[in-house]
Amino acid sequence: MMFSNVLKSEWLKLKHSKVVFIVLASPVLATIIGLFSTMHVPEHQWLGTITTMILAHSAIFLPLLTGVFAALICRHEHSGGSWKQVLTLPVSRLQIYFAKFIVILFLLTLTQTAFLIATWVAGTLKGFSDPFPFVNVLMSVGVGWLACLPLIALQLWLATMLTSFAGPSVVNVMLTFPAVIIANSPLFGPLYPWAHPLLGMTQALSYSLGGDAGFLDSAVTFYVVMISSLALFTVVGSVHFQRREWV
Amino acid sequence: MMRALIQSDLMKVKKMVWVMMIAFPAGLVGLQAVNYSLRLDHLLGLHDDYWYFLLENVHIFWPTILVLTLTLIISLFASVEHETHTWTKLFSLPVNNGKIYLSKLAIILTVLIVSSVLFVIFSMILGLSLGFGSDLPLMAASQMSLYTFIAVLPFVFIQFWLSMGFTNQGIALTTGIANAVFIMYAVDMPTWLPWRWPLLLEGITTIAPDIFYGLGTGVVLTVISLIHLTRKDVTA
Repeated sequence: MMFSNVLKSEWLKLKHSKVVFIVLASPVLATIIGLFSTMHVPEHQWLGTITTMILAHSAIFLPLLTGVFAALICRHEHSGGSWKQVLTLPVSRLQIYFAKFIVILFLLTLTQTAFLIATWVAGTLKGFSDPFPFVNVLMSVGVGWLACLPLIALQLWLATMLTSFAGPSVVNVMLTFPAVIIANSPLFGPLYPWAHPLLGMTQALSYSLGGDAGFLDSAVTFYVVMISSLALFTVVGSVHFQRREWV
Repeated sequence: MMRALIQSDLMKVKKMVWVMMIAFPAGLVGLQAVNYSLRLDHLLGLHDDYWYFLLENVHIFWPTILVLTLTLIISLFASVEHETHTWTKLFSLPVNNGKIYLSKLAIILTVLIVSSVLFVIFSMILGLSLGFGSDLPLMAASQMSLYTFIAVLPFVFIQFWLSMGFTNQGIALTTGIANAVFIMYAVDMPTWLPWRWPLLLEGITTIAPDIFYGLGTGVVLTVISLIHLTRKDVTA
């Protein structure tokens, strides 16, 4: 069987699971918070609102959302023990694992795109007359997407290991919450993957505007930690999935 | 009857629930321990009453953590039944349908209360180890913890209804996370919004109307959700 078929079957399972609600939750919430935002930056009309929205979206919501996506994509297999049914299909386990990974990436892309639109909607509703800083927000959204990759790899591993819906999210909350504090430390922030969505999105926005939000001492550490944690979690997760015994 | 139900439900509780019950308050107080150890002099200079200021500091993120905890606990409880398709079996027992939900609710509320008590104890330990003196503000700490618990009751019942009512736990978890995030931004919101109530903005030891709103809304939502859950058709 072709890999595209595996992807298609994952997509079919997702189709009627009210996934749109979950994809749009954070952008909608960020829009409400953005509309009430009183933060004002004199030199740049959009900056205050967008920064507030990015903080609300990236600090807690985005990292926790990766856990919900990972659990959602394994939902049908968890209930009624249908992991064994899926694994008897004439496809390799790795193909199933990476098909799930790709579908999560796609859902994350949808969320980030919706967030990009949400910033424009919030600013337009507030009657901003300056042109929308499209490129800057796009940079921020893109780096945020990259920063979520290690978390997705870890969450998918946990979701296939714990075979329960809320289980992976428990671990995720325990690791994400300290990030709110750790992100404030220029030394430890880049070393802690759960602080990465927040750091990446704020830093990319300010950097593209020619400034420096001051969250990151060294961008190199940030990318090294991101790539190595992504590689670590993907390899461990897929090897575990490949080798484990399903009962 | 009720006792037997609660005993059988207790057996289904996952270990993760007990871990969360202890780890979340411990982790939150631990974060403040780090905060205090990094800039002790600065923080002590901000307020004359060291103990009261410590309680205010530990309380900042407590409503958010409590809402996340209850979201996850309730969802873990519900997934036990959803994933093994035992709802129909449960309802075919010669027990009132409402009691099946009530026994789960009783355990969930107990776990949250124990977690709140642990939160008070951990805060006291932090204050003692920072050398704030043995004059423990147990009354103020208990008030803070109890008022927050009452004010998050509406969220308990929203999550209970979403988790037990829908097989798809993604909806319940996303709503819970959204509530938890929104609470952090609710400072400037109008008083009638439930996200504002657990923040205890009138002071952490003041009995504000917010707490009674929380209690009232909580009771009304329980009745509505229990009536709906007991009457709806059970399919899986």
